[in-house]
Amino acid sequence: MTGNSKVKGKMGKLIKNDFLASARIIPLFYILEAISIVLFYIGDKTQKPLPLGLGVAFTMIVAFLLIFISLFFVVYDFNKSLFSQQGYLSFSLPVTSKQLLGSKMIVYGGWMILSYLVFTVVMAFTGQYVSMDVVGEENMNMVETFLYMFMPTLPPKSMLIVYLIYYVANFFIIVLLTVSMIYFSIAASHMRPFQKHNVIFAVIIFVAVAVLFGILLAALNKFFRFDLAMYDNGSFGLAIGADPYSGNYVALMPVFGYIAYAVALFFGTSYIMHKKVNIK
Amino acid sequence: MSEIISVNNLTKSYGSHKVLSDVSFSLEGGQIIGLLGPNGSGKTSLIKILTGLINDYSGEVVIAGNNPGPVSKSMVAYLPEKTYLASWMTADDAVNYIADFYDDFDKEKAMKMLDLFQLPHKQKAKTMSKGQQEKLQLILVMCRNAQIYILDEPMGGVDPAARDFILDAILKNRPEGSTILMSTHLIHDIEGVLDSIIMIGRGQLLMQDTTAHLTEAGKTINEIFKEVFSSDWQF
Repeated sequence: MTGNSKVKGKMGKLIKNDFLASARIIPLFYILEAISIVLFYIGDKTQKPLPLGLGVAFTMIVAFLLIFISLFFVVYDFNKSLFSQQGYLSFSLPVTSKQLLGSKMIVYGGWMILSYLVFTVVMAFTGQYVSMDVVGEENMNMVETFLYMFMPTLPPKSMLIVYLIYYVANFFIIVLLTVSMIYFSIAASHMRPFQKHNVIFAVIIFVAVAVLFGILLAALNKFFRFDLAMYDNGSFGLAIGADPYSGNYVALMPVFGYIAYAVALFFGTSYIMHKKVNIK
Repeated sequence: MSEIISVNNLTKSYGSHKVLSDVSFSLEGGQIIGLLGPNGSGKTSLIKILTGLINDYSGEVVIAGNNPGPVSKSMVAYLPEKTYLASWMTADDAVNYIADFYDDFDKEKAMKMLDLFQLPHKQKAKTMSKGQQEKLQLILVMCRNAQIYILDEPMGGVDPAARDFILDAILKNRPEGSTILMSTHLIHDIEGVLDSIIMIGRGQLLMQDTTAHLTEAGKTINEIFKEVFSSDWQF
Protein backbone atom coordinates (compact mmCIF):
# COMPACT_ATOMS: atom_id res chain seq x y z
CA MET A 1 0.00 0.00 0.00
CA THR A 2 1.47 3.38 -0.94
CA GLY A 3 1.63 6.31 1.43
CA ASN A 4 -0.92 8.33 -0.52
CA SER A 5 -3.44 5.51 -0.60
CA LYS A 6 -3.14 5.26 3.17
CA VAL A 7 -4.38 8.81 3.68
CA LYS A 8 -7.15 8.91 1.06
CA GLY A 9 -10.74 8.53 2.08
CA LYS A 10 -10.23 9.85 5.61
CA MET A 11 -12.61 12.80 5.22
CA GLY A 12 -15.61 10.51 5.55
CA LYS A 13 -14.12 9.04 8.74
CA LEU A 14 -13.57 12.52 10.15
CA ILE A 15 -17.17 13.51 9.42
CA LYS A 16 -18.44 10.28 10.95
CA ASN A 17 -16.44 10.76 14.15
CA ASP A 18 -17.26 14.47 14.44
CA PHE A 19 -20.91 13.57 14.03
CA LEU A 20 -20.67 10.84 16.68
CA ALA A 21 -19.02 13.30 19.07
CA SER A 22 -21.79 15.85 18.51
CA ALA A 23 -24.57 13.26 18.55
CA ARG A 24 -24.18 12.58 22.27
CA ILE A 25 -25.95 15.78 23.32
CA ILE A 26 -27.41 17.86 20.47
CA PRO A 27 -30.09 15.30 19.41
CA LEU A 28 -31.41 15.30 22.99
CA PHE A 29 -32.66 18.85 22.40
CA TYR A 30 -34.44 17.75 19.22
CA ILE A 31 -36.13 14.99 21.22
CA LEU A 32 -37.15 17.65 23.77
CA GLU A 33 -38.55 19.75 20.92
CA ALA A 34 -40.52 16.76 19.62
CA ILE A 35 -41.97 16.15 23.10
CA SER A 36 -42.96 19.83 23.33
CA ILE A 37 -44.70 19.62 19.94
CA VAL A 38 -46.60 16.50 21.08
CA LEU A 39 -47.70 18.41 24.20
CA PHE A 40 -48.76 21.30 21.98
CA TYR A 41 -50.73 18.89 19.76
CA ILE A 42 -52.46 17.22 22.74
CA GLY A 43 -53.33 20.65 24.15
CA ASP A 44 -54.79 21.70 20.82
CA LYS A 45 -56.83 18.53 20.44
CA THR A 46 -58.16 18.53 24.02
CA GLN A 47 -58.42 22.34 24.19
CA LYS A 48 -57.09 22.23 27.75
CA PRO A 49 -55.33 25.50 28.55
CA LEU A 50 -52.49 24.04 30.66
CA PRO A 51 -50.99 21.52 28.20
CA LEU A 52 -51.68 23.92 25.33
CA GLY A 53 -49.96 26.83 27.06
CA LEU A 54 -47.04 24.70 28.16
CA GLY A 55 -46.81 23.09 24.71
CA VAL A 56 -46.66 26.44 22.91
CA ALA A 57 -44.20 27.90 25.42
CA PHE A 58 -41.85 24.90 25.47
CA THR A 59 -41.94 24.50 21.69
CA MET A 60 -40.76 28.09 21.27
CA ILE A 61 -38.22 28.02 24.13
CA VAL A 62 -36.63 24.75 23.02
CA ALA A 63 -36.51 25.98 19.40
CA PHE A 64 -34.47 28.93 20.66
CA LEU A 65 -32.32 26.59 22.78
CA LEU A 66 -31.54 24.54 19.67
CA ILE A 67 -29.79 27.53 18.14
CA PHE A 68 -27.99 28.31 21.36
CA ILE A 69 -26.78 24.74 21.91
CA SER A 70 -25.63 24.40 18.28
CA LEU A 71 -23.67 27.64 18.58
CA PHE A 72 -22.21 26.49 21.90
CA PHE A 73 -20.99 23.24 20.33
CA VAL A 74 -19.47 25.07 17.35
CA VAL A 75 -17.25 26.91 19.83
CA TYR A 76 -16.77 24.16 22.42
CA ASP A 77 -15.91 21.29 20.07
CA PHE A 78 -13.49 23.30 17.92
CA ASN A 79 -11.64 24.62 20.94
CA LYS A 80 -11.62 21.37 22.87
CA SER A 81 -10.86 18.86 20.12
CA LEU A 82 -8.09 20.87 18.48
CA PHE A 83 -6.53 23.21 21.01
CA SER A 84 -6.69 21.33 24.31
CA GLN A 85 -4.72 18.14 25.03
CA GLN A 86 -7.15 16.35 22.72
CA GLY A 87 -5.37 18.21 19.93
CA TYR A 88 -2.51 15.71 20.27
CA LEU A 89 -4.93 13.08 18.99
CA SER A 90 -6.59 15.24 16.29
CA PHE A 91 -3.39 16.71 14.85
CA SER A 92 -1.53 13.39 14.76
CA LEU A 93 -4.22 11.82 12.55
CA PRO A 94 -3.13 11.18 8.94
CA VAL A 95 -5.23 14.04 7.56
CA THR A 96 -4.61 17.64 6.53
CA SER A 97 -5.63 20.71 8.53
CA LYS A 98 -8.11 21.52 5.76
CA GLN A 99 -9.76 18.13 6.22
CA LEU A 100 -9.95 18.58 10.01
CA LEU A 101 -11.51 22.01 9.53
CA GLY A 102 -13.77 20.98 6.64
CA SER A 103 -15.22 18.10 8.62
CA LYS A 104 -16.12 20.38 11.51
CA MET A 105 -17.62 22.96 9.15
CA ILE A 106 -19.85 20.30 7.61
CA VAL A 107 -20.99 18.68 10.87
CA TYR A 108 -21.36 21.71 13.13
CA GLY A 109 -22.41 24.04 10.29
CA GLY A 110 -25.04 21.41 9.49
CA TRP A 111 -26.32 21.41 13.07
CA MET A 112 -26.49 25.23 13.00
CA ILE A 113 -28.48 25.28 9.76
CA LEU A 114 -30.85 22.61 11.06
CA SER A 115 -31.43 24.51 14.29
CA TYR A 116 -32.27 27.72 12.40
CA LEU A 117 -34.61 25.85 10.07
CA VAL A 118 -36.45 24.25 13.00
CA PHE A 119 -36.58 27.60 14.77
CA THR A 120 -38.01 29.33 11.69
CA VAL A 121 -40.66 26.67 11.10
CA VAL A 122 -41.61 26.54 14.79
CA MET A 123 -41.88 30.30 15.11
CA ALA A 124 -43.88 30.63 11.90
CA PHE A 125 -46.24 27.85 12.89
CA THR A 126 -46.74 28.84 16.54
CA GLY A 127 -46.99 32.51 15.58
CA GLN A 128 -49.65 31.66 13.03
CA TYR A 129 -51.47 29.44 15.55
CA VAL A 130 -51.45 31.99 18.35
CA SER A 131 -52.54 34.89 16.14
CA MET A 132 -55.11 32.88 14.16
CA ASP A 133 -58.09 33.75 16.31
CA VAL A 134 -57.00 37.29 16.89
CA VAL A 135 -56.35 38.67 13.44
CA GLY A 136 -57.74 36.00 11.15
CA GLU A 137 -57.53 37.06 7.50
CA GLU A 138 -55.24 39.91 8.35
CA ASN A 139 -52.34 37.48 8.53
CA MET A 140 -51.79 37.74 4.80
CA ASN A 141 -51.78 41.51 5.06
CA MET A 142 -49.11 41.21 7.76
CA VAL A 143 -46.98 39.08 5.46
CA GLU A 144 -47.42 41.57 2.65
CA THR A 145 -46.52 44.50 4.92
CA PHE A 146 -43.43 42.56 5.97
CA LEU A 147 -42.39 41.98 2.36
CA TYR A 148 -42.89 45.66 1.50
CA MET A 149 -40.14 46.44 4.00
CA PHE A 150 -37.67 44.81 1.61
CA MET A 151 -39.07 45.52 -1.84
CA PRO A 152 -41.10 48.35 -3.40
CA THR A 153 -43.49 46.04 -5.22
CA LEU A 154 -44.28 42.43 -4.57
CA PRO A 155 -42.68 40.08 -7.10
CA PRO A 156 -44.88 38.27 -9.60
CA LYS A 157 -45.97 34.87 -8.34
CA SER A 158 -43.83 33.13 -10.97
CA MET A 159 -40.78 34.74 -9.39
CA LEU A 160 -41.52 33.68 -5.84
CA ILE A 161 -39.55 30.48 -6.26
CA VAL A 162 -36.48 32.51 -7.31
CA TYR A 163 -36.87 34.64 -4.20
CA LEU A 164 -37.23 31.57 -2.07
CA ILE A 165 -34.10 29.93 -3.46
CA TYR A 166 -32.20 33.19 -3.08
CA TYR A 167 -33.16 33.73 0.55
CA VAL A 168 -32.63 30.11 1.59
CA ALA A 169 -29.22 29.93 -0.14
CA ASN A 170 -28.29 33.31 1.33
CA PHE A 171 -29.29 32.11 4.75
CA PHE A 172 -27.18 28.92 4.52
CA ILE A 173 -24.18 30.90 3.35
CA ILE A 174 -24.51 33.42 6.18
CA VAL A 175 -24.64 30.60 8.75
CA LEU A 176 -21.51 29.00 7.28
CA LEU A 177 -19.81 32.41 7.16
CA THR A 178 -20.59 32.89 10.86
CA VAL A 179 -19.11 29.48 11.68
CA SER A 180 -16.01 30.37 9.60
CA MET A 181 -15.61 33.60 11.55
CA ILE A 182 -15.91 31.76 14.86
CA TYR A 183 -13.36 29.12 13.81
CA PHE A 184 -10.91 31.74 12.56
CA SER A 185 -11.21 33.73 15.80
CA ILE A 186 -10.63 30.68 17.99
CA ALA A 187 -7.66 29.43 15.93
CA ALA A 188 -6.04 32.87 15.85
CA SER A 189 -6.54 33.29 19.60
CA HIS A 190 -4.35 30.22 20.16
CA MET A 191 -1.40 31.79 18.35
CA ARG A 192 1.53 32.53 20.59
CA PRO A 193 0.96 36.31 21.14
CA PHE A 194 -2.68 35.72 22.21
CA GLN A 195 -2.41 32.34 23.91
CA LYS A 196 -2.33 33.56 27.52
CA HIS A 197 -5.65 35.39 27.27
CA ASN A 198 -7.09 33.42 24.39
CA VAL A 199 -10.77 33.78 25.37
CA ILE A 200 -10.62 37.58 25.42
CA PHE A 201 -8.63 37.64 22.18
CA ALA A 202 -11.05 35.24 20.49
CA VAL A 203 -13.86 37.75 21.15
CA ILE A 204 -11.74 40.71 20.03
CA ILE A 205 -10.65 38.93 16.85
CA PHE A 206 -14.24 37.90 16.09
CA VAL A 207 -15.45 41.50 16.38
CA ALA A 208 -12.52 42.74 14.27
CA VAL A 209 -13.20 40.14 11.57
CA ALA A 210 -16.91 41.04 11.53
CA VAL A 211 -16.24 44.80 11.36
CA LEU A 212 -13.70 44.32 8.56
CA PHE A 213 -16.23 42.28 6.63
CA GLY A 214 -18.89 44.94 7.13
CA ILE A 215 -16.55 47.60 5.74
CA LEU A 216 -15.52 45.46 2.76
CA LEU A 217 -19.09 44.56 1.95
CA ALA A 218 -20.26 48.17 2.16
CA ALA A 219 -17.46 49.25 -0.18
CA LEU A 220 -18.20 46.45 -2.64
CA ASN A 221 -21.90 47.25 -2.60
CA LYS A 222 -21.21 50.90 -3.23
CA PHE A 223 -18.80 50.48 -6.12
CA PHE A 224 -19.53 47.07 -7.64
CA ARG A 225 -23.20 46.47 -6.96
CA PHE A 226 -24.94 43.99 -9.22
CA ASP A 227 -28.35 42.41 -8.84
CA LEU A 228 -30.69 39.88 -10.26
CA ALA A 229 -33.56 41.87 -11.78
CA MET A 230 -36.99 40.24 -12.05
CA TYR A 231 -39.55 41.58 -14.49
CA ASP A 232 -43.32 41.39 -14.46
CA ASN A 233 -43.38 39.23 -17.59
CA GLY A 234 -41.56 36.48 -15.69
CA SER A 235 -38.10 37.03 -17.19
CA PHE A 236 -35.03 38.08 -15.28
CA GLY A 237 -31.53 39.38 -15.97
CA LEU A 238 -28.41 40.86 -14.47
CA ALA A 239 -28.58 44.52 -13.44
CA ILE A 240 -25.43 46.48 -12.65
CA GLY A 241 -25.62 49.56 -10.43
CA ALA A 242 -29.40 49.39 -10.16
CA ASP A 243 -31.39 51.36 -7.63
CA PRO A 244 -32.59 48.59 -5.29
CA TYR A 245 -35.81 50.45 -4.55
CA SER A 246 -36.82 50.95 -8.16
CA GLY A 247 -37.96 47.40 -8.95
CA ASN A 248 -37.71 43.74 -8.04
CA TYR A 249 -34.05 43.13 -7.46
CA VAL A 250 -32.15 40.71 -5.33
CA ALA A 251 -28.63 41.79 -4.51
CA LEU A 252 -26.00 39.31 -5.69
CA MET A 253 -22.88 41.13 -4.56
CA PRO A 254 -23.37 40.36 -0.84
CA VAL A 255 -23.80 36.66 -1.63
CA PHE A 256 -20.49 36.58 -3.50
CA GLY A 257 -18.98 38.64 -0.68
CA TYR A 258 -20.15 36.11 1.93
CA ILE A 259 -18.76 33.19 -0.05
CA ALA A 260 -15.41 34.87 -0.77
CA TYR A 261 -14.97 35.91 2.86
CA ALA A 262 -15.91 32.45 4.15
CA VAL A 263 -13.42 30.82 1.76
CA ALA A 264 -10.67 33.28 2.77
CA LEU A 265 -11.36 32.59 6.45
CA PHE A 266 -11.34 28.84 5.82
CA PHE A 267 -7.88 28.97 4.26
CA GLY A 268 -6.66 31.43 6.90
CA THR A 269 -7.86 29.17 9.70
CA SER A 270 -6.34 26.09 8.11
CA TYR A 271 -3.01 27.92 7.69
CA ILE A 272 -3.01 28.98 11.34
CA MET A 273 -3.85 25.43 12.46
CA HIS A 274 -1.05 24.01 10.33
CA LYS A 275 1.67 26.57 10.87
CA LYS A 276 1.03 28.80 13.83
CA VAL A 277 -0.40 26.76 16.66
CA ASN A 278 1.58 24.74 19.19
CA ILE A 279 -0.66 22.62 21.39
CA LYS A 280 0.26 22.73 25.04
CA MET B 1 20.05 -0.96 7.52
CA SER B 2 18.30 1.96 5.74
CA GLU B 3 17.84 5.48 7.04
CA ILE B 4 14.34 5.93 8.48
CA ILE B 5 14.55 9.42 9.99
CA SER B 6 16.73 12.23 8.73
CA VAL B 7 17.00 15.69 10.29
CA ASN B 8 19.16 18.41 8.75
CA ASN B 9 19.92 21.84 10.22
CA LEU B 10 16.69 21.87 12.19
CA THR B 11 16.04 25.09 14.07
CA LYS B 12 12.92 25.99 15.99
CA SER B 13 12.21 29.14 17.98
CA TYR B 14 9.31 30.32 20.10
CA GLY B 15 9.49 34.07 19.65
CA SER B 16 13.08 35.02 20.48
CA HIS B 17 13.67 31.78 22.42
CA LYS B 18 15.50 29.14 20.37
CA VAL B 19 14.53 25.62 21.48
CA LEU B 20 16.33 23.70 18.73
CA SER B 21 19.45 25.07 17.12
CA ASP B 22 20.85 23.64 13.91
CA VAL B 23 20.19 20.02 14.88
CA SER B 24 21.22 17.33 12.39
CA PHE B 25 21.14 13.56 12.71
CA SER B 26 19.91 10.48 10.97
CA LEU B 27 18.54 7.23 12.37
CA GLU B 28 18.70 3.77 10.92
CA GLY B 29 15.58 1.63 10.88
CA GLY B 30 14.96 -1.35 13.14
CA GLN B 31 16.53 0.14 16.26
CA ILE B 32 15.38 1.28 19.67
CA ILE B 33 16.74 4.77 20.14
CA GLY B 34 16.71 6.76 23.35
CA LEU B 35 16.16 10.49 23.04
CA LEU B 36 17.80 11.77 26.19
CA GLY B 37 18.07 15.19 27.71
CA PRO B 38 17.10 17.14 30.81
CA ASN B 39 13.77 18.98 31.11
CA GLY B 40 13.55 21.88 28.68
CA SER B 41 16.28 20.51 26.43
CA GLY B 42 14.02 20.48 23.33
CA LYS B 43 13.04 16.78 23.31
CA THR B 44 9.29 17.39 23.11
CA SER B 45 9.66 20.11 20.46
CA LEU B 46 11.78 17.72 18.37
CA ILE B 47 9.17 14.99 18.77
CA LYS B 48 6.34 17.37 17.86
CA ILE B 49 8.19 18.28 14.67
CA LEU B 50 8.84 14.62 13.79
CA THR B 51 5.17 13.79 14.33
CA GLY B 52 3.89 16.77 12.34
CA LEU B 53 2.37 18.65 15.27
CA ILE B 54 4.71 21.59 14.76
CA ASN B 55 5.24 22.69 11.17
CA ASP B 56 6.76 26.11 11.68
CA TYR B 57 10.53 25.44 11.68
CA SER B 58 13.57 25.81 9.47
CA GLY B 59 15.66 22.92 8.20
CA GLU B 60 14.69 19.62 6.68
CA VAL B 61 12.97 16.65 8.27
CA VAL B 62 12.36 13.39 6.40
CA ILE B 63 10.40 10.48 7.86
CA ALA B 64 10.56 7.28 5.81
CA GLY B 65 11.07 9.35 2.66
CA ASN B 66 8.35 11.92 3.42
CA ASN B 67 8.30 15.33 5.03
CA PRO B 68 6.10 15.43 8.14
CA GLY B 69 2.47 15.41 6.97
CA PRO B 70 -0.48 13.07 6.50
CA VAL B 71 1.62 10.37 4.80
CA SER B 72 4.33 10.31 7.47
CA LYS B 73 1.64 10.39 10.16
CA SER B 74 0.16 7.21 8.71
CA MET B 75 3.54 5.52 9.23
CA VAL B 76 4.29 6.84 12.71
CA ALA B 77 2.61 5.63 15.90
CA TYR B 78 2.89 8.48 18.37
CA LEU B 79 2.43 8.35 22.11
CA PRO B 80 2.42 11.89 23.52
CA GLU B 81 3.37 12.79 27.05
CA LYS B 82 -0.16 14.07 27.67
CA THR B 83 -3.41 12.16 27.98
CA TYR B 84 -5.28 13.06 24.83
CA LEU B 85 -8.51 11.07 24.78
CA ALA B 86 -11.81 12.91 24.41
CA SER B 87 -13.80 12.87 27.63
CA TRP B 88 -16.80 11.24 25.94
CA MET B 89 -14.80 8.29 24.59
CA THR B 90 -15.03 4.89 26.18
CA ALA B 91 -12.18 2.41 25.70
CA ASP B 92 -14.16 0.80 22.87
CA ASP B 93 -14.83 4.21 21.27
CA ALA B 94 -11.12 5.00 21.37
CA VAL B 95 -10.24 1.68 19.72
CA ASN B 96 -12.87 2.23 17.00
CA TYR B 97 -11.65 5.79 16.47
CA ILE B 98 -8.04 4.73 15.90
CA ALA B 99 -9.16 1.78 13.73
CA ASP B 100 -11.00 4.28 11.49
CA PHE B 101 -7.89 6.29 10.72
CA TYR B 102 -4.99 3.84 10.71
CA ASP B 103 -5.04 0.93 8.29
CA ASP B 104 -2.22 -0.74 10.22
CA PHE B 105 -4.21 -0.86 13.47
CA ASP B 106 -5.00 -4.36 14.78
CA LYS B 107 -8.44 -3.89 16.36
CA GLU B 108 -8.79 -7.48 17.48
CA LYS B 109 -5.48 -7.37 19.29
CA ALA B 110 -6.49 -4.07 20.93
CA MET B 111 -9.72 -5.58 22.25
CA LYS B 112 -7.78 -8.50 23.72
CA MET B 113 -5.25 -6.15 25.29
CA LEU B 114 -8.04 -4.16 26.94
CA ASP B 115 -9.01 -7.36 28.76
CA LEU B 116 -5.39 -8.25 29.46
CA PHE B 117 -4.80 -4.81 31.00
CA GLN B 118 -8.13 -5.09 32.84
CA LEU B 119 -9.51 -1.93 31.28
CA PRO B 120 -13.32 -1.75 31.21
CA HIS B 121 -14.55 -1.50 27.62
CA LYS B 122 -17.50 0.78 28.38
CA GLN B 123 -15.93 3.12 30.91
CA LYS B 124 -15.50 6.70 29.75
CA ALA B 125 -11.95 8.06 29.57
CA LYS B 126 -12.85 10.99 31.83
CA THR B 127 -13.73 8.60 34.68
CA MET B 128 -10.55 6.51 34.28
CA SER B 129 -7.52 7.03 36.49
CA LYS B 130 -4.44 8.59 34.90
CA GLY B 131 -2.77 5.18 34.95
CA GLN B 132 -5.72 3.58 33.14
CA GLN B 133 -5.72 6.34 30.53
CA GLU B 134 -2.00 5.87 29.95
CA LYS B 135 -2.47 2.11 29.56
CA LEU B 136 -5.28 2.70 27.07
CA GLN B 137 -3.14 5.10 25.04
CA LEU B 138 -0.31 2.60 25.07
CA ILE B 139 -2.66 -0.05 23.66
CA LEU B 140 -3.80 2.33 20.92
CA VAL B 141 -0.19 2.95 19.92
CA MET B 142 1.27 -0.54 20.29
CA CYS B 143 -1.59 -2.25 18.44
CA ARG B 144 -0.51 -0.50 15.27
CA ASN B 145 1.87 -2.29 12.95
CA ALA B 146 3.73 0.92 12.29
CA GLN B 147 7.17 1.43 10.83
CA ILE B 148 8.10 3.98 13.46
CA TYR B 149 7.02 4.42 17.09
CA ILE B 150 7.69 7.77 18.70
CA LEU B 151 7.06 7.64 22.43
CA ASP B 152 7.34 10.80 24.52
CA GLU B 153 8.12 9.93 28.15
CA PRO B 154 6.10 6.70 28.06
CA MET B 155 7.02 5.92 31.64
CA GLY B 156 6.85 9.41 33.06
CA GLY B 157 4.70 9.81 36.16
CA VAL B 158 4.13 6.11 36.85
CA ASP B 159 5.45 3.95 39.67
CA PRO B 160 8.50 1.63 39.14
CA ALA B 161 6.34 -1.51 38.83
CA ALA B 162 4.21 0.12 36.16
CA ARG B 163 7.36 1.22 34.31
CA ASP B 164 8.44 -2.41 33.88
CA PHE B 165 4.95 -3.29 32.73
CA ILE B 166 4.92 -0.48 30.14
CA LEU B 167 8.39 -1.28 28.84
CA ASP B 168 7.46 -4.94 28.58
CA ALA B 169 4.29 -4.06 26.63
CA ILE B 170 6.30 -1.90 24.23
CA LEU B 171 8.94 -4.56 23.58
CA LYS B 172 6.49 -7.47 23.25
CA ASN B 173 4.17 -5.67 20.85
CA ARG B 174 6.75 -4.03 18.66
CA PRO B 175 6.61 -5.40 15.09
CA GLU B 176 9.84 -6.89 13.83
CA GLY B 177 12.01 -4.39 12.00
CA SER B 178 10.20 -1.35 13.38
CA THR B 179 12.00 1.63 14.85
CA ILE B 180 11.30 3.05 18.30
CA LEU B 181 12.36 6.54 19.29
CA MET B 182 11.70 6.97 22.98
CA SER B 183 12.30 10.13 24.98
CA THR B 184 12.85 9.74 28.68
CA HIS B 185 14.74 11.02 31.67
CA LEU B 186 14.39 7.61 33.39
CA ILE B 187 17.51 6.30 31.69
CA HIS B 188 18.27 3.64 34.26
CA ASP B 189 14.98 1.85 33.49
CA ILE B 190 15.48 1.62 29.74
CA GLU B 191 19.16 1.64 28.99
CA GLY B 192 19.29 -2.14 28.75
CA VAL B 193 16.99 -2.15 25.74
CA LEU B 194 18.45 0.77 23.81
CA ASP B 195 20.48 0.19 20.66
CA SER B 196 21.58 3.78 20.40
CA ILE B 197 21.04 7.19 21.94
CA ILE B 198 20.65 10.81 20.96
CA MET B 199 21.48 13.30 23.69
CA ILE B 200 20.28 16.88 23.38
CA GLY B 201 20.70 19.84 25.70
CA ARG B 202 19.76 23.50 25.33
CA GLY B 203 18.43 22.71 21.89
CA GLN B 204 21.66 21.29 20.53
CA LEU B 205 22.70 17.79 19.62
CA LEU B 206 25.38 16.80 22.13
CA MET B 207 25.87 13.12 21.39
CA GLN B 208 24.71 10.38 19.04
CA ASP B 209 26.17 6.91 19.30
CA THR B 210 25.38 3.25 19.80
CA THR B 211 25.00 2.06 23.37
CA ALA B 212 27.47 -0.75 22.65
CA HIS B 213 30.15 1.77 21.77
CA LEU B 214 29.35 4.14 24.61
CA THR B 215 29.45 1.44 27.29
CA GLU B 216 32.69 -0.17 26.07
CA ALA B 217 34.63 1.61 28.81
CA GLY B 218 32.40 0.15 31.49
CA LYS B 219 30.23 3.18 32.14
CA THR B 220 26.45 2.99 32.01
CA ILE B 221 24.37 5.35 29.87
CA ASN B 222 22.95 6.79 33.09
CA GLU B 223 26.48 7.65 34.29
CA ILE B 224 27.39 9.19 30.95
CA PHE B 225 24.17 11.25 31.05
CA LYS B 226 25.05 12.51 34.54
CA GLU B 227 28.55 13.43 33.39
CA VAL B 228 27.25 15.38 30.39
CA PHE B 229 24.55 17.14 32.37
CA SER B 230 26.60 17.70 35.52
CA SER B 231 25.87 20.53 37.92
CA ASP B 232 27.92 22.87 35.68
CA TRP B 233 25.32 22.35 32.95
CA GLN B 234 22.57 23.69 35.15
CA PHE B 235 24.08 27.20 35.15
